[in-house]
Amino acid sequence: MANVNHTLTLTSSDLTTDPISLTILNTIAGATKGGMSRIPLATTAIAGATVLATAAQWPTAGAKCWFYNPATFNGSAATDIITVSFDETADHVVLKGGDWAIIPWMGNVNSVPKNIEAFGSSGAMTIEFGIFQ
Amino acid sequence: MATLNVTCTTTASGLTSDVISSVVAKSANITTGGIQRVSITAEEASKAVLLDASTFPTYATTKSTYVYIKNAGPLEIRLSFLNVTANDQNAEVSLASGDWMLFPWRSAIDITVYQFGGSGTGIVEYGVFN
Repeated sequence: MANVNHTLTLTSSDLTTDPISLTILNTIAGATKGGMSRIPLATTAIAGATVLATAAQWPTAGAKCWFYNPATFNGSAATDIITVSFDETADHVVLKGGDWAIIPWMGNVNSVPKNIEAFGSSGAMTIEFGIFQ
Repeated sequence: MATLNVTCTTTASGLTSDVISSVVAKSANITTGGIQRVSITAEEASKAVLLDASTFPTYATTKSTYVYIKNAGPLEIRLSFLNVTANDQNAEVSLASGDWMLFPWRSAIDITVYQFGGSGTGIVEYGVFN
């Protein structure tokens, strides 16, 4: 078993009169499964979207998901966007180029199994995805 | 215009044969935001609105709105953040005491919060940056 540590560092020296400097550690103690990998996205729509994690493998509370869009941000061209769905249907989290997210997840909330899926706004996009529990 | 720097460091030794050590940083131009704490007493039957979507800029492809949420209270909290309006646990995520999350928010639907499995006063720390 292993400890998985996620540390968030959030800073801004010029947003407010009091500079923001936040560092928070979260540890998953005794993690037994998980890892990080880059995954090519097969589609540009939710139909046929790439499954990142299955509810069957991650049914219970306590999993932590990491998402990172390694594409270069290109603003209004909008060809750099990855959309993540937690219910295989709706668009939930949108990652522009360079964006990342950490979100807790369980596949069987309320006993309804749902996979995590993702698709890109243009062809041949790749997401970096990690999941730990 | 101000700059927001958000960095995530992930480390794990002993989980896989290859030690995991990842650092990803994002620097964004922002004009509004800050961090604050609020107390909550809401339970599932009477969820509280943590973030009112109507008070934040509409989603645009040119700029992300980043949301940070930490459960600073003693009980598990549940949040609806998946752009779903229905009263549906399938559209919620759970934050254990001390846990945090960060994600780009589409600011289309309110984010609600309540304490799960208990009552009393909880504390939620959050920040929204755009």
